[in-house]
Amino acid sequence: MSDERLSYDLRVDGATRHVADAWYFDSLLTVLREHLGVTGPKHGCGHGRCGACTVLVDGEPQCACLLLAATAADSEITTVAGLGAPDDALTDLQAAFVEHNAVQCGYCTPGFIVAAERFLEEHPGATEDDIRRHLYGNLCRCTGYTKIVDAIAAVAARRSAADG
Amino acid sequence: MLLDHRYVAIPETLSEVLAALQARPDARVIAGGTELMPDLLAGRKHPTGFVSLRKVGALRGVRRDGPALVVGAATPIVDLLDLPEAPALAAAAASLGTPQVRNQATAGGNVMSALPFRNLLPALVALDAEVELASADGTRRVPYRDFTLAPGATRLADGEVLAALRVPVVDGFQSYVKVGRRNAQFVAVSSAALVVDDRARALRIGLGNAARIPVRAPAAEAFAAAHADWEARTLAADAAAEAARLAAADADPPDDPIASAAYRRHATGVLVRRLLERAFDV
Repeated sequence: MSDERLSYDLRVDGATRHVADAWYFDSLLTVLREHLGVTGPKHGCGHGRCGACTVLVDGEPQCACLLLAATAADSEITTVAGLGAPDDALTDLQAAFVEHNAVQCGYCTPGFIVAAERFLEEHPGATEDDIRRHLYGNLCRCTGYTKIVDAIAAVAARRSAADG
Repeated sequence: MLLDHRYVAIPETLSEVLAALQARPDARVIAGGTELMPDLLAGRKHPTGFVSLRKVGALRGVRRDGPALVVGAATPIVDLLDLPEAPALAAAAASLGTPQVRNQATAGGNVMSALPFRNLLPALVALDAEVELASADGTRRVPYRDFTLAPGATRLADGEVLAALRVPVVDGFQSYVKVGRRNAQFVAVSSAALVVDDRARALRIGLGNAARIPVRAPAAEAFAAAHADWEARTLAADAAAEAARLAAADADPPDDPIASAAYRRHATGVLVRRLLERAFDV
Protein backbone atom coordinates (compact mmCIF):
# COMPACT_ATOMS: atom_id res chain seq x y z
CA MET A 1 0.00 0.00 0.00
CA SER A 2 1.29 3.43 -0.92
CA ASP A 3 2.45 5.51 2.00
CA GLU A 4 0.06 8.21 0.84
CA ARG A 5 -2.43 6.13 2.80
CA LEU A 6 -2.44 5.71 6.53
CA SER A 7 -4.26 3.79 9.23
CA TYR A 8 -5.32 4.97 12.65
CA ASP A 9 -8.06 4.67 15.26
CA LEU A 10 -10.85 7.18 15.79
CA ARG A 11 -13.20 7.46 18.76
CA VAL A 12 -16.70 7.74 17.24
CA ASP A 13 -19.91 7.75 19.29
CA GLY A 14 -18.21 6.11 22.23
CA ALA A 15 -16.54 3.29 20.28
CA THR A 16 -13.00 2.90 18.96
CA ARG A 17 -13.14 2.48 15.18
CA HIS A 18 -10.18 1.45 13.04
CA VAL A 19 -9.60 3.42 9.86
CA ALA A 20 -7.57 1.44 7.34
CA ASP A 21 -5.73 2.98 4.41
CA ALA A 22 -7.32 6.42 4.31
CA TRP A 23 -5.67 9.03 2.08
CA TYR A 24 -3.43 11.34 4.06
CA PHE A 25 -5.55 14.33 2.96
CA ASP A 26 -8.98 12.85 3.75
CA SER A 27 -11.35 14.99 5.80
CA LEU A 28 -13.05 13.62 8.89
CA LEU A 29 -16.33 13.68 6.95
CA THR A 30 -14.93 11.47 4.18
CA VAL A 31 -13.48 9.03 6.67
CA LEU A 32 -16.69 8.85 8.72
CA ARG A 33 -18.94 8.32 5.72
CA GLU A 34 -16.80 6.35 3.31
CA HIS A 35 -14.50 4.35 5.56
CA LEU A 36 -16.64 3.81 8.65
CA GLY A 37 -20.16 3.93 7.19
CA VAL A 38 -21.16 6.61 9.70
CA THR A 39 -23.62 8.48 7.49
CA GLY A 40 -25.31 10.82 10.00
CA PRO A 41 -23.05 13.76 9.09
CA LYS A 42 -23.87 14.93 5.55
CA HIS A 43 -21.72 16.43 2.83
CA GLY A 44 -23.18 19.82 1.94
CA CYS A 45 -21.06 22.77 0.92
CA GLY A 46 -17.58 21.50 1.76
CA HIS A 47 -16.39 24.83 3.16
CA GLY A 48 -17.97 25.40 6.53
CA ARG A 49 -21.08 27.33 5.58
CA CYS A 50 -23.99 24.88 5.71
CA GLY A 51 -23.25 22.88 8.86
CA ALA A 52 -24.75 19.66 7.47
CA CYS A 53 -21.59 17.78 8.53
CA THR A 54 -21.58 19.14 12.11
CA VAL A 55 -20.24 16.72 14.72
CA LEU A 56 -19.04 17.28 18.27
CA VAL A 57 -15.26 17.14 18.55
CA ASP A 58 -14.39 16.84 22.22
CA GLY A 59 -17.82 18.27 22.96
CA GLU A 60 -17.70 21.29 20.62
CA PRO A 61 -19.59 21.53 17.31
CA GLN A 62 -17.25 21.51 14.34
CA CYS A 63 -17.58 20.92 10.61
CA ALA A 64 -16.27 17.45 9.84
CA CYS A 65 -15.57 18.52 6.25
CA LEU A 66 -12.92 20.99 7.46
CA LEU A 67 -11.03 18.73 9.83
CA LEU A 68 -8.08 16.69 8.60
CA ALA A 69 -9.17 13.23 9.74
CA ALA A 70 -5.79 11.95 10.88
CA THR A 71 -5.47 14.87 13.29
CA ALA A 72 -8.71 13.89 15.04
CA ALA A 73 -7.29 10.57 16.21
CA ASP A 74 -7.10 11.57 19.88
CA SER A 75 -10.48 13.30 19.96
CA GLU A 76 -13.90 12.11 21.05
CA ILE A 77 -16.24 12.47 18.05
CA THR A 78 -20.00 12.47 18.52
CA THR A 79 -22.43 12.32 15.60
CA VAL A 80 -26.21 12.59 15.66
CA ALA A 81 -26.35 8.84 16.23
CA GLY A 82 -24.27 9.09 19.39
CA LEU A 83 -26.38 11.65 21.23
CA GLY A 84 -29.09 9.28 22.47
CA ALA A 85 -29.11 6.64 25.12
CA PRO A 86 -27.49 3.30 24.25
CA ASP A 87 -30.93 1.73 23.77
CA ASP A 88 -31.40 3.85 20.63
CA ALA A 89 -34.14 5.92 22.24
CA LEU A 90 -34.49 9.39 20.75
CA THR A 91 -33.24 12.35 22.73
CA ASP A 92 -35.87 14.90 23.71
CA LEU A 93 -34.51 17.18 20.98
CA GLN A 94 -34.72 14.46 18.33
CA ALA A 95 -38.28 13.67 19.45
CA ALA A 96 -39.16 17.37 19.26
CA PHE A 97 -37.98 17.53 15.64
CA VAL A 98 -40.41 14.69 14.88
CA GLU A 99 -43.22 16.22 16.92
CA HIS A 100 -42.88 19.65 15.27
CA ASN A 101 -42.37 18.31 11.74
CA ALA A 102 -39.03 20.11 11.72
CA VAL A 103 -37.78 17.73 9.02
CA GLN A 104 -38.58 18.08 5.35
CA CYS A 105 -35.88 16.57 3.13
CA GLY A 106 -33.87 15.82 6.28
CA TYR A 107 -30.44 16.60 4.91
CA CYS A 108 -29.69 19.39 7.39
CA THR A 109 -31.30 17.61 10.34
CA PRO A 110 -28.33 15.69 11.79
CA GLY A 111 -26.14 18.79 11.75
CA PHE A 112 -28.89 20.93 13.23
CA ILE A 113 -29.53 18.48 16.05
CA VAL A 114 -25.85 18.16 16.95
CA ALA A 115 -25.33 21.94 16.92
CA ALA A 116 -28.57 22.61 18.80
CA GLU A 117 -27.78 20.03 21.48
CA ARG A 118 -24.57 21.86 22.40
CA PHE A 119 -26.28 25.24 22.03
CA LEU A 120 -28.97 24.23 24.55
CA GLU A 121 -26.31 23.09 27.01
CA GLU A 122 -24.67 26.52 26.80
CA HIS A 123 -27.95 28.49 26.70
CA PRO A 124 -30.46 26.87 29.01
CA GLY A 125 -33.78 28.63 28.72
CA ALA A 126 -32.89 29.98 25.26
CA THR A 127 -35.58 32.10 23.62
CA GLU A 128 -36.58 31.98 19.97
CA ASP A 129 -34.45 35.09 19.46
CA ASP A 130 -31.39 33.40 21.04
CA ILE A 131 -31.90 30.39 18.80
CA ARG A 132 -32.11 32.48 15.63
CA ARG A 133 -29.16 34.60 16.73
CA HIS A 134 -26.81 31.72 17.51
CA LEU A 135 -27.68 28.82 15.24
CA TYR A 136 -26.69 30.44 11.97
CA GLY A 137 -23.99 27.87 11.28
CA ASN A 138 -26.63 25.46 9.98
CA LEU A 139 -28.59 26.11 6.81
CA CYS A 140 -31.93 24.60 5.83
CA ARG A 141 -33.24 25.04 2.31
CA CYS A 142 -36.70 23.45 2.85
CA THR A 143 -38.46 24.46 6.01
CA GLY A 144 -37.93 28.20 6.25
CA TYR A 145 -36.58 27.43 9.75
CA THR A 146 -39.82 28.11 11.62
CA LYS A 147 -40.47 24.51 12.60
CA ILE A 148 -36.82 23.89 13.44
CA VAL A 149 -36.76 26.92 15.74
CA ASP A 150 -40.11 25.82 17.25
CA ALA A 151 -38.72 22.36 18.03
CA ILE A 152 -35.58 23.71 19.68
CA ALA A 153 -37.54 26.37 21.61
CA ALA A 154 -39.97 23.73 22.88
CA VAL A 155 -37.08 21.68 24.27
CA ALA A 156 -35.50 24.76 25.84
CA ALA A 157 -38.81 25.61 27.55
CA ARG A 158 -39.41 22.03 28.68
CA ARG A 159 -35.90 21.60 30.05
CA SER A 160 -35.94 24.89 31.96
CA ALA A 161 -39.41 24.08 33.37
CA ALA A 162 -38.04 20.71 34.54
CA ASP A 163 -35.02 22.44 36.14
CA GLY A 164 -36.97 25.15 37.72
CA MET B 1 2.08 10.13 17.47
CA LEU B 2 2.37 9.91 13.70
CA LEU B 3 5.58 11.90 13.86
CA ASP B 4 7.31 9.72 11.33
CA HIS B 5 4.65 9.49 8.67
CA ARG B 6 5.85 10.87 5.36
CA TYR B 7 2.75 12.95 4.66
CA VAL B 8 1.14 13.73 8.00
CA ALA B 9 2.98 14.76 11.16
CA ILE B 10 1.07 15.42 14.37
CA PRO B 11 3.70 16.83 16.72
CA GLU B 12 3.00 17.85 20.30
CA THR B 13 5.74 20.41 20.95
CA LEU B 14 7.11 23.38 19.04
CA SER B 15 10.50 21.72 18.56
CA GLU B 16 8.76 18.67 17.11
CA VAL B 17 6.89 21.00 14.74
CA LEU B 18 10.15 22.52 13.54
CA ALA B 19 11.79 19.12 13.13
CA ALA B 20 8.75 17.84 11.22
CA LEU B 21 8.92 20.86 8.88
CA GLN B 22 12.62 20.31 8.31
CA ALA B 23 11.97 16.69 7.38
CA ARG B 24 9.13 17.68 5.02
CA PRO B 25 10.04 21.00 3.42
CA ASP B 26 7.03 20.90 1.10
CA ALA B 27 4.46 20.14 3.81
CA ARG B 28 1.82 22.69 4.73
CA VAL B 29 1.24 23.68 8.34
CA ILE B 30 -2.40 23.00 9.21
CA ALA B 31 -4.29 23.86 12.40
CA GLY B 32 -8.09 24.14 12.24
CA GLY B 33 -8.17 23.28 8.55
CA THR B 34 -10.83 25.87 7.67
CA GLU B 35 -8.53 27.66 5.24
CA LEU B 36 -6.87 24.68 3.62
CA MET B 37 -9.49 21.93 3.44
CA PRO B 38 -11.93 23.74 1.09
CA ASP B 39 -9.05 24.41 -1.31
CA LEU B 40 -8.13 20.73 -1.20
CA LEU B 41 -11.68 19.63 -1.85
CA ALA B 42 -12.02 22.02 -4.77
CA GLY B 43 -8.69 20.87 -6.18
CA ARG B 44 -7.12 24.33 -5.90
CA LYS B 45 -4.28 23.09 -3.72
CA HIS B 46 -2.46 19.78 -3.56
CA PRO B 47 -0.25 19.81 -0.47
CA THR B 48 2.25 16.99 -0.45
CA GLY B 49 1.88 16.62 3.28
CA PHE B 50 0.79 18.31 6.48
CA VAL B 51 2.28 19.30 9.79
CA SER B 52 -0.62 19.68 12.21
CA LEU B 53 -0.63 22.15 15.09
CA ARG B 54 -3.76 20.67 16.68
CA LYS B 55 -1.90 18.85 19.45
CA VAL B 56 0.69 21.51 20.23
CA GLY B 57 -0.56 22.82 23.57
CA ALA B 58 2.16 25.50 23.79
CA LEU B 59 0.74 27.22 20.69
CA ARG B 60 -2.77 27.41 22.07
CA GLY B 61 -4.27 29.94 24.44
CA VAL B 62 -4.06 33.61 25.39
CA ARG B 63 -1.80 34.89 28.17
CA ARG B 64 -0.70 38.28 29.46
CA ASP B 65 2.99 39.09 29.14
CA GLY B 66 3.70 42.53 30.59
CA PRO B 67 2.26 45.19 28.28
CA ALA B 68 0.96 42.69 25.72
CA LEU B 69 -1.38 39.78 25.22
CA VAL B 70 0.27 36.77 23.66
CA VAL B 71 -2.12 34.81 21.47
CA GLY B 72 -0.81 31.38 20.50
CA ALA B 73 -1.02 30.78 16.76
CA ALA B 74 -3.20 27.69 17.20
CA THR B 75 -5.69 29.43 19.50
CA PRO B 76 -9.20 28.88 18.15
CA ILE B 77 -11.20 32.01 17.30
CA VAL B 78 -13.80 31.12 19.95
CA ASP B 79 -11.16 31.82 22.62
CA LEU B 80 -10.88 35.44 21.43
CA LEU B 81 -14.53 36.36 21.91
CA ASP B 82 -14.11 37.49 25.50
CA LEU B 83 -10.96 39.63 25.52
CA PRO B 84 -11.55 42.81 27.54
CA GLU B 85 -7.88 43.71 27.02
CA ALA B 86 -8.22 43.79 23.22
CA PRO B 87 -11.82 44.68 22.32
CA ALA B 88 -11.02 45.32 18.64
CA LEU B 89 -9.69 41.78 18.29
CA ALA B 90 -12.68 40.36 20.16
CA ALA B 91 -15.12 42.25 17.93
CA ALA B 92 -13.35 41.00 14.81
CA ALA B 93 -13.44 37.43 16.13
CA ALA B 94 -17.15 37.62 16.97
CA SER B 95 -18.24 38.08 13.35
CA LEU B 96 -15.90 35.46 11.88
CA GLY B 97 -17.64 32.55 10.13
CA THR B 98 -20.12 30.45 12.07
CA PRO B 99 -20.06 29.06 15.62
CA GLN B 100 -18.69 25.80 14.18
CA VAL B 101 -15.96 27.57 12.22
CA ARG B 102 -14.99 29.66 15.27
CA ASN B 103 -14.38 26.41 17.16
CA GLN B 104 -11.98 25.26 14.43
CA ALA B 105 -10.37 28.25 12.76
CA THR B 106 -7.32 29.70 14.52
CA ALA B 107 -5.80 33.13 15.02
CA GLY B 108 -2.65 32.00 13.23
CA GLY B 109 -4.59 30.61 10.29
CA ASN B 110 -6.31 33.94 9.81
CA VAL B 111 -2.92 35.69 9.74
CA MET B 112 -1.26 33.13 7.47
CA SER B 113 -4.11 33.30 4.95
CA ALA B 114 -2.82 36.84 4.34
CA LEU B 115 -6.05 37.77 2.56
CA PRO B 116 -7.11 41.38 3.08
CA PHE B 117 -10.73 40.55 3.94
CA ARG B 118 -9.96 38.14 6.79
CA ASN B 119 -11.53 39.37 10.01
CA LEU B 120 -8.65 39.67 12.46
CA LEU B 121 -6.22 41.45 10.18
CA PRO B 122 -7.45 45.08 10.33
CA ALA B 123 -7.64 44.73 14.11
CA LEU B 124 -4.06 43.45 14.31
CA VAL B 125 -2.86 46.33 12.14
CA ALA B 126 -4.69 48.90 14.27
CA LEU B 127 -3.41 47.31 17.49
CA ASP B 128 0.19 47.52 16.23
CA ALA B 129 0.58 43.80 16.89
CA GLU B 130 3.73 41.80 16.29
CA VAL B 131 4.11 38.25 15.03
CA GLU B 132 6.46 35.79 16.69
CA LEU B 133 8.14 33.50 14.19
CA ALA B 134 9.89 30.38 15.46
CA SER B 135 12.60 28.42 13.68
CA ALA B 136 15.46 26.10 14.58
CA ASP B 137 17.57 29.25 15.09
CA GLY B 138 15.23 30.73 17.68
CA THR B 139 12.39 33.20 17.64
CA ARG B 140 12.17 36.56 15.90
CA ARG B 141 9.50 39.25 16.14
CA VAL B 142 8.20 41.16 13.14
CA PRO B 143 5.71 44.05 13.26
CA TYR B 144 2.47 42.73 11.83
CA ARG B 145 2.16 45.75 9.52
CA ASP B 146 5.32 44.54 7.70
CA PHE B 147 4.44 40.84 7.70
CA THR B 148 2.05 40.54 4.76
CA LEU B 149 3.67 41.07 1.36
CA ALA B 150 0.80 40.30 -1.00
CA PRO B 151 -2.45 38.31 -0.85
CA GLY B 152 -1.41 34.87 0.40
CA ALA B 153 2.25 35.84 0.82
CA THR B 154 4.07 36.73 4.04
CA ARG B 155 7.61 37.19 5.32
CA LEU B 156 7.57 33.73 6.91
CA ALA B 157 10.82 32.07 5.87
CA ASP B 158 11.34 28.43 4.95
CA GLY B 159 11.53 26.32 8.11
CA GLU B 160 9.74 28.98 10.16
CA VAL B 161 6.35 28.69 11.80
CA LEU B 162 4.08 31.41 13.13
CA ALA B 163 4.12 30.79 16.88
CA ALA B 164 2.15 33.69 18.38
CA LEU B 165 0.70 37.14 17.97
CA ARG B 166 1.76 39.83 20.45
CA VAL B 167 -1.03 42.31 20.92
CA PRO B 168 -0.25 45.47 22.93
CA VAL B 169 -2.83 46.29 25.58
CA VAL B 170 -4.01 49.84 24.88
CA ASP B 171 -6.28 52.00 27.06
CA GLY B 172 -9.05 53.61 25.06
CA PHE B 173 -11.91 52.94 22.68
CA GLN B 174 -11.54 49.99 20.27
CA SER B 175 -13.86 48.42 17.78
CA TYR B 176 -14.13 46.61 14.46
CA VAL B 177 -16.84 46.96 11.83
CA LYS B 178 -17.42 45.40 8.45
CA VAL B 179 -19.94 45.53 5.64
CA GLY B 180 -21.07 42.64 3.50
CA ARG B 181 -24.08 41.15 1.84
CA ARG B 182 -25.97 39.98 4.93
CA ASN B 183 -25.75 39.94 8.71
CA ALA B 184 -24.46 36.42 9.31
CA GLN B 185 -21.52 34.41 7.98
CA PHE B 186 -20.35 36.73 5.28
CA VAL B 187 -16.95 37.61 4.01
CA ALA B 188 -16.16 41.30 4.48
CA VAL B 189 -16.59 43.50 1.43
CA SER B 190 -14.75 46.15 3.42
CA SER B 191 -13.76 46.27 7.07
CA ALA B 192 -12.09 48.63 9.51
CA ALA B 193 -10.76 48.64 13.05
CA LEU B 194 -10.10 51.63 15.29
CA VAL B 195 -7.81 51.69 18.31
CA VAL B 196 -7.72 54.91 20.34
CA ASP B 197 -4.69 55.32 22.57
CA ASP B 198 -5.90 57.63 25.35
CA ARG B 199 -2.48 58.07 26.95
CA ALA B 200 -0.65 58.92 23.72
CA ARG B 201 -3.66 60.90 22.45
CA ALA B 202 -3.28 59.09 19.18
CA LEU B 203 -5.40 56.71 17.19
CA ARG B 204 -4.77 53.96 14.68
CA ILE B 205 -7.07 52.74 11.93
CA GLY B 206 -6.66 49.33 10.27
CA LEU B 207 -8.44 48.68 6.99
CA GLY B 208 -9.50 45.41 5.37
CA ASN B 209 -9.99 45.24 1.60
CA ALA B 210 -8.90 48.85 1.20
CA ALA B 211 -5.74 47.52 -0.50
CA ARG B 212 -4.32 44.16 -1.54
CA ILE B 213 -3.08 43.68 2.03
CA PRO B 214 -4.33 44.97 5.40
CA VAL B 215 -3.19 48.60 5.77
CA ARG B 216 -3.30 51.60 8.10
CA ALA B 217 -4.89 54.93 7.20
CA PRO B 218 -2.15 57.36 8.31
CA ALA B 219 -3.60 60.57 6.85
CA ALA B 220 -7.02 59.92 8.40
CA GLU B 221 -5.43 58.99 11.74
CA ALA B 222 -3.33 62.14 11.92
CA PHE B 223 -6.21 64.38 10.90
CA ALA B 224 -8.65 62.90 13.42
CA ALA B 225 -6.11 62.94 16.27
CA ALA B 226 -5.20 66.58 15.57
CA HIS B 227 -8.84 67.71 15.45
CA ALA B 228 -10.16 65.74 18.42
CA ASP B 229 -10.73 67.49 21.74
CA TRP B 230 -9.06 64.91 23.97
CA GLU B 231 -10.33 66.46 27.21
CA ALA B 232 -13.97 66.60 26.16
CA ARG B 233 -13.64 63.45 24.01
CA THR B 234 -15.31 65.11 21.09
CA LEU B 235 -14.64 65.32 17.38
CA ALA B 236 -16.53 67.75 15.16
CA ALA B 237 -18.76 66.09 12.57
CA ASP B 238 -16.97 67.77 9.68
CA ALA B 239 -13.60 66.60 11.05
CA ALA B 240 -14.86 63.00 11.24
CA ALA B 241 -16.14 63.36 7.67
CA GLU B 242 -12.80 64.74 6.47
CA ALA B 243 -10.89 61.89 8.17
CA ALA B 244 -13.23 59.44 6.43
CA ARG B 245 -12.65 61.18 3.10
CA LEU B 246 -8.86 60.93 3.59
CA ALA B 247 -9.11 57.21 4.36
CA ALA B 248 -11.21 56.62 1.25
CA ALA B 249 -8.92 58.75 -0.92
CA ASP B 250 -5.85 56.77 0.17
CA ALA B 251 -7.53 53.41 -0.42
CA ASP B 252 -6.61 51.30 -3.42
CA PRO B 253 -9.19 48.54 -3.00
CA PRO B 254 -9.47 45.28 -4.90
CA ASP B 255 -12.07 45.08 -7.67
CA ASP B 256 -13.68 41.64 -7.90
CA PRO B 257 -17.05 39.93 -8.44
CA ILE B 258 -18.03 40.56 -4.80
CA ALA B 259 -17.68 44.34 -5.02
CA SER B 260 -16.19 47.03 -7.22
CA ALA B 261 -13.22 49.11 -6.15
CA ALA B 262 -15.44 52.22 -6.22
CA TYR B 263 -17.95 50.67 -3.84
CA ARG B 264 -15.20 49.51 -1.50
CA ARG B 265 -13.62 52.96 -1.50
CA HIS B 266 -16.96 54.46 -0.49
CA ALA B 267 -17.56 51.77 2.15
CA THR B 268 -14.09 52.36 3.62
CA GLY B 269 -14.96 56.00 4.26
CA VAL B 270 -18.32 55.10 5.77
CA LEU B 271 -16.75 52.57 8.13
CA VAL B 272 -14.05 54.99 9.28
CA ARG B 273 -16.64 57.68 10.00
CA ARG B 274 -18.83 55.17 11.81
CA LEU B 275 -15.94 54.12 14.08
CA LEU B 276 -14.94 57.71 14.83
CA GLU B 277 -18.55 58.53 15.72
CA ARG B 278 -18.56 55.70 18.21
CA ALA B 279 -15.21 56.62 19.74
CA PHE B 280 -15.89 60.33 20.15
CA ASP B 281 -18.93 62.47 20.77
CA VAL B 282 -19.47 63.95 17.35
